Amino acid sequence: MHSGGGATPPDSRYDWTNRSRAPKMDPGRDFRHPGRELDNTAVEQAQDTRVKNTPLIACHECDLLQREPPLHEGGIVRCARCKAELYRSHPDGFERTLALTAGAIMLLAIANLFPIIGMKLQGQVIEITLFHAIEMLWNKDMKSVGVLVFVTTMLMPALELLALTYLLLPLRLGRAPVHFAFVFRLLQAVKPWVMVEVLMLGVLVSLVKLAKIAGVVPGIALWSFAALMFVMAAVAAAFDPRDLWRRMSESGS
Amino acid sequence: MTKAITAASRGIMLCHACGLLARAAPSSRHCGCPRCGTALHLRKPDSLARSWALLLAAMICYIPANILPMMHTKSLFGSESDTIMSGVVYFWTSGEWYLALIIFFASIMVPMLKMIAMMLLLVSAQRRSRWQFMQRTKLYRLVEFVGRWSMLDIYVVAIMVALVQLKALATIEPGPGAIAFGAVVVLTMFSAMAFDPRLIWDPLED
Repeated sequence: MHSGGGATPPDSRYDWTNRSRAPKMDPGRDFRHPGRELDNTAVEQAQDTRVKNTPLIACHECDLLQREPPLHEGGIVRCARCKAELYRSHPDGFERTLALTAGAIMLLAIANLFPIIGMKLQGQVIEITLFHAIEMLWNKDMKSVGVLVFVTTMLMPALELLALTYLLLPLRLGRAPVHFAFVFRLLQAVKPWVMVEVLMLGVLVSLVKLAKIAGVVPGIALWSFAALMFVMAAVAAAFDPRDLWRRMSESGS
Repeated sequence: MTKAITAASRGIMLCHACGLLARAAPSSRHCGCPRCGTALHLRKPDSLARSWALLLAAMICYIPANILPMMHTKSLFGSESDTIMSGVVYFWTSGEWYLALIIFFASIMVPMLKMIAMMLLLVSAQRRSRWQFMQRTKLYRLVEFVGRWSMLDIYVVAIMVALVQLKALATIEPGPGAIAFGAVVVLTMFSAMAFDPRLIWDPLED
């Protein structure tokens, strides 16, 4: 297989963009046409066994069928036609995802149990948790808005983290989780609805708004949400779905 | 330039959940991914119709979202109702121009531009336009990325309402605009999810 700098260059019919550590001067690769597409003849004439054994991949954004190029560490493989990211290297993705998920669960718990923001007024401090805010919307007959806030800031982040734990932890311990495929699909469906970073900005805007009326005190949950925002982003960056499926199939179920 | 091969032209379907390629079986109309069980399609079913329907619903909700008040503030000095735009104006005139800009972009510009962009994508995909494939794909990515930030105002309302409940001094009540605005955000997100970006490139197959 491919082994970095000095090895035989992959076939020039591959189209790929590796961002870093790609050998710069491979005489065999056609650098003049980096965006060249795989054509019919290229597939049919691919006599080389190495080419034949390279799996195909389809771009999820433009449906172009292409050979999977080798991936260097830290590299990203993009679609030859529309430049959508097909996959990237996630060094230690599995371990990192698991560790970061564990951290994120703690942060989410703190973020939801402790007051997020407080107001100082005549010597008194009124503090609210995020759940108070949701409850208040519900009681004020704004049930739909309350549900929307609950789903995007509490339910979906919790589901994402639990699904990740459910998928990764048994595999780490050498067991295959049951209903793996269902939970994996759940995870994919949940992701767009996790809006921790938007909530963060919303709380900051309210903080400035309220500061005009009274003294405001940022609560513990606010710091926790800020940290959660970064940890969740790190989880998303470390998570490697391809590796996960590979491990799952290796675990033999 | 040689013609590109798409997976669809070879009857190969990409599983959106797990990334597996599967060949379409000619016998069955609905088939699941052999690895994860997700329903497989060459293209998202009724992508354009669903996306249009959700987009039109979002456009209708956009009107009350901007006209109706998001918040009612009752204080010793009387009561006032704030729409999204009046909130922006308030911040602008009171000197917090950066906040005014954030709210203006997140709550007014983003939903509007998103709806215009979705319209452009849908019309061009419907007419099988061969215009600017790459730029339209980039536009789609932008729409997907930016949509969530419109939730900002909903969170602001939630926090303000919960915190400012000082019976004697001041209370803030949520207004019906918040419901309409939440609906706009959710509907446009669903609309963008229903759209299949592969339709942008399909005219190259003709």
